[in-house]
Amino acid sequence: MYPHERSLVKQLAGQPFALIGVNSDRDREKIREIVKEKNITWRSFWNGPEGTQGPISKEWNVSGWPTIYVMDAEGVIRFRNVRGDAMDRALETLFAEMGQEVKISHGGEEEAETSGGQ
Amino acid sequence: MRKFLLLGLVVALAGCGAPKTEKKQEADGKDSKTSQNAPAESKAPVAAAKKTEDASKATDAATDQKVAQSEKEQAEPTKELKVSDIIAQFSTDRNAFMKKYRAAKPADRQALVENELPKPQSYAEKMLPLAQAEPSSDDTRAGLLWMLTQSEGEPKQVAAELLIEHHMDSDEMPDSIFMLSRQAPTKEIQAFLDRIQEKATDEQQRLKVVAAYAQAMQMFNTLRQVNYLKEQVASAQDKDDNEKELAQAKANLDDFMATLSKGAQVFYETGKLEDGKELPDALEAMSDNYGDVVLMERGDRKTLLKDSLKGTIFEMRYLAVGKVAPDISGEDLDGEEFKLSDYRGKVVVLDFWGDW
Repeated sequence: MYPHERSLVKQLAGQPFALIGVNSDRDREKIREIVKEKNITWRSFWNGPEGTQGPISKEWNVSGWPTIYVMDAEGVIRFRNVRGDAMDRALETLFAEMGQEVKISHGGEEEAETSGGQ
Repeated sequence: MRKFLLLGLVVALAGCGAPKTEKKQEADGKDSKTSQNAPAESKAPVAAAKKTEDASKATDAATDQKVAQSEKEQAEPTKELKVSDIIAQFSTDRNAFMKKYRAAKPADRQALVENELPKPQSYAEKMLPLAQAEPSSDDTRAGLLWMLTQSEGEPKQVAAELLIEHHMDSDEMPDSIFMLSRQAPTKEIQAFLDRIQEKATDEQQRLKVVAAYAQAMQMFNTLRQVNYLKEQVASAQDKDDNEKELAQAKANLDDFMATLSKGAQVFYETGKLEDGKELPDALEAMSDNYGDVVLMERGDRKTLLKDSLKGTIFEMRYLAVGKVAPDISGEDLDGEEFKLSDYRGKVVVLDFWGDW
């Protein structure tokens, strides 16, 4: 999960794109450390001390983790639970609708991470 | 807690298996059913026919091996074999297969699935006489449920009959029926749930309500699979020169729809229930009338129907593809307030995650 997400965030840095998490760990302090440790650069809502029973996941009827929703620029839900390749294709479709041709690929992720170039 | 149930369901009913393999398994099952007709693969007929022949040879070999194995087992104390032992054996065999599958080269995997994937049907057939010999034990009840969901033909039919004949009174029965919520709304299972509701006495109200709940949830839970099959048809239609792919995609959709109950077919074609009602409206009515019925019990935690349906109804009404996502406002991990709608104008991936 994390490597794919890191790679997405990095590749789409110049695009109208945001990866938003809803974190369901109970201990906020602990997860803050993990976020630093694992270089999780994107923003997350915190689901509260009840963890997976917290208010946001409860309202969204989430029963499995991870659960993924993809919204277009108008906020319309366009895809649910797309992962890996399917997520990349879904995002390309949505960017194309906005007139942006974006090609997502994750070859040489590790290198990209250490080189730090955009 | 539904997460654990789901997990339990996957383990108990489906054995193990990555989604990818399950899809293959479905395709495999379909192939064997339609093998007299055109081969499903877009290979040359001769090659495909040879493949089928090889596959059946290898399957025979595998069966022989299994028979030898079970004979060996029976040489020990014969009478002790229970229905649950056979389910456990299926699990073990399926796990062993998965291990082999993962270790195999990608090019060899298709053949492996065709030749060696343990098929629930043969295990169900072994369970059948054991279940008939002792139809009312708890062990058999669990096995009957497995047979009902995993097998076809006689074992499936007998399982439905024995469950209704011997287990309507069991305290465990509503929990077992609840487990059917994730199944596809097939003709057989929906008819079975109809019969449960017909046969349930006033004292068995919980069973009756859970059966109605399971029926409705099957419609909802299978929507994704139907949509997927429809998307495959649509994407084949978009391509040029793809008659074969289109025909295959259509056949996959039609084959699946043909397994479903009339009510489910109507639902996936029109988006409405057979009586013209919307599914979330029907669930809301169910919640109003039977909201305090205990849907399931786990230790001292009870889930009431109304609590479980609340999220589901919300999801159906507001979280479907095509709806504007409801806003979220909350704190980020540093305690700073923000809203999902702050990101309007951008493509947003919303990821419910946890580091565990």
